[in-house]
Amino acid sequence: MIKGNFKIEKIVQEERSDQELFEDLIAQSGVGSNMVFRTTKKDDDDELFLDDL
Amino acid sequence: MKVLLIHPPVRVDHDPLDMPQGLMILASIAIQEGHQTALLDLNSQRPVPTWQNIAKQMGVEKWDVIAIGGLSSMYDDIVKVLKIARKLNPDALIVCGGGFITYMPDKIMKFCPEIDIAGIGEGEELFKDVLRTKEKGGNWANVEGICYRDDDQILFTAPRPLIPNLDTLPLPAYDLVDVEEYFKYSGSLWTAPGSWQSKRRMNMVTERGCPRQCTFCTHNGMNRWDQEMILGKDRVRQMDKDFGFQAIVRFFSPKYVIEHALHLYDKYKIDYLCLMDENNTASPGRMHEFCDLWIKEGLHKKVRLATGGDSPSIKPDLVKHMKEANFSTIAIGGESGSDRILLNDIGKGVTRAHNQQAIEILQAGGITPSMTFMVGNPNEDINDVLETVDFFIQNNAIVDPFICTPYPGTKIFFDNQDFILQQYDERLALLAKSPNPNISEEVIKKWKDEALQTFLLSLNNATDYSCTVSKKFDYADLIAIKHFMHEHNTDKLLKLAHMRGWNHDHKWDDICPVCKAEQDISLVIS
Repeated sequence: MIKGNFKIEKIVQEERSDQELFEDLIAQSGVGSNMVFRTTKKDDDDELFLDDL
Repeated sequence: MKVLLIHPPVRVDHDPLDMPQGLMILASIAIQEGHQTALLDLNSQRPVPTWQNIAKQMGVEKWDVIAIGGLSSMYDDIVKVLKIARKLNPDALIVCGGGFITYMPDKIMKFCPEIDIAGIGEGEELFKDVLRTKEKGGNWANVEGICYRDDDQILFTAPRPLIPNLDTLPLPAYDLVDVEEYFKYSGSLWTAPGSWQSKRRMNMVTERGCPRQCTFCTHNGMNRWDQEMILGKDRVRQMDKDFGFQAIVRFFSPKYVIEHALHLYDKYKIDYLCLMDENNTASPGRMHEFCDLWIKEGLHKKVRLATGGDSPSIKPDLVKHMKEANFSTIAIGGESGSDRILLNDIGKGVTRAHNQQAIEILQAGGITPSMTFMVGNPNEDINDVLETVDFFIQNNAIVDPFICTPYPGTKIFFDNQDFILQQYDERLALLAKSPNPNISEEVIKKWKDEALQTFLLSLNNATDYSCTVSKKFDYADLIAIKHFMHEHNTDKLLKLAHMRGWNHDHKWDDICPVCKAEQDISLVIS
């Protein structure tokens, strides 16, 4: 999160679905031997959506 | 000016352990200099925010200066943060510092066109100069210790000496960090009884540099060994004459550290403090003085302590005093159970006997030893691995060793650059085996630069495999050996030795399943 010595607009993380949170969790800590199907492509994250900024 | 400091995520497969002390000190300096200052800490939350959310957080203001710091293992995320930062702030001055850029600033600036200034080594005085120079219009040639752009060129300025007295630095800007968020993970440091029960743990850095000169280690450009690696010995000797002796290790004074700790206790009611120092026991006199002051202030009844040290400096009288001060653990780099590797490959100046003695003294003194080990040093063979596993077994220790990783700035990186790059470009690997005069130096240089960028992007925590400098094991071997070391599985290690044709010493014959089988068969035949 962002904090400053002057007033800054706070941007909170948008509400995320349980599925998204679950996918992040397994991406970060591993899932063991179960197969998990992601709903989004990891490559989308890597593109950073720069064109939308 | 509006100044934004960004801390990229670290070890996202683990809870966030440490607040970004270095950036927090830089934030204090920016505030002292009169700037509107913010810190975007992308590491405090798990899961880390999405890139879209990170972009929104960065985009709340138009920043004049953006400073990004981090280690080599964070490079992949730093590259992404840089792209967003530049897209949102086309006119901002983007300054980078820390271990990821200190050892090859010109190369990193070539790979990351978003970076305007690379800070080499110690950042506090340097950042102050950068802010002042930016306000005056940006005559970068006079700012010591940086790399900057001048048209298409990337230029170095004169080297910057180390800060002679660390007590002159301000306290980190705790107000700019979500301290309560970090406290959620206070129990995630599983090194000793007490740390995982902590509810309000904080970290502090009280030392820069280390008297040991291990080949796998760097100090983010903040001690003499690193300066010699970056500048060469002659230039460092010249700096000795010009600015005073460039130290191997520097400490904040015990008085400064106690005042800092009292501030943290008064403001945040901390119950556990990790002194995240490379080798805090290396100066026993200072540690005794620290313990005296800590006890005198009554902090030993309120706050438990942890720190890092080295084996030869662990003595019974020091441990007794540290126990009285309420130290619960001391972390030590054990590295290997083989003296051959400790002394020749790592150059630590520490032996297995030192490590064994340190464990026994700490256990007798009631402080939990925490020792890390590694596998994959350049000349480490299966016998050295078995010595290390033997050390684990003798001490009934559970250890998942790190993989010896050639992070930029280390001696093993500089000594093995071609071998490292060959692991990231098969064309370079093939040319190393069969040189071809028809391929120009220019083409090879281009491939090497591409391989270097791929190597940097691949660098991860050393618990995972990124790259090797081993002359004995390939990556498949290393992953298997690491796993079997963790399991104390000498059977599998010795069978692997026979499968791969590695000669193991006869001292292991009695526990080797293959040797025992051969003996049994020959006995039956005879």
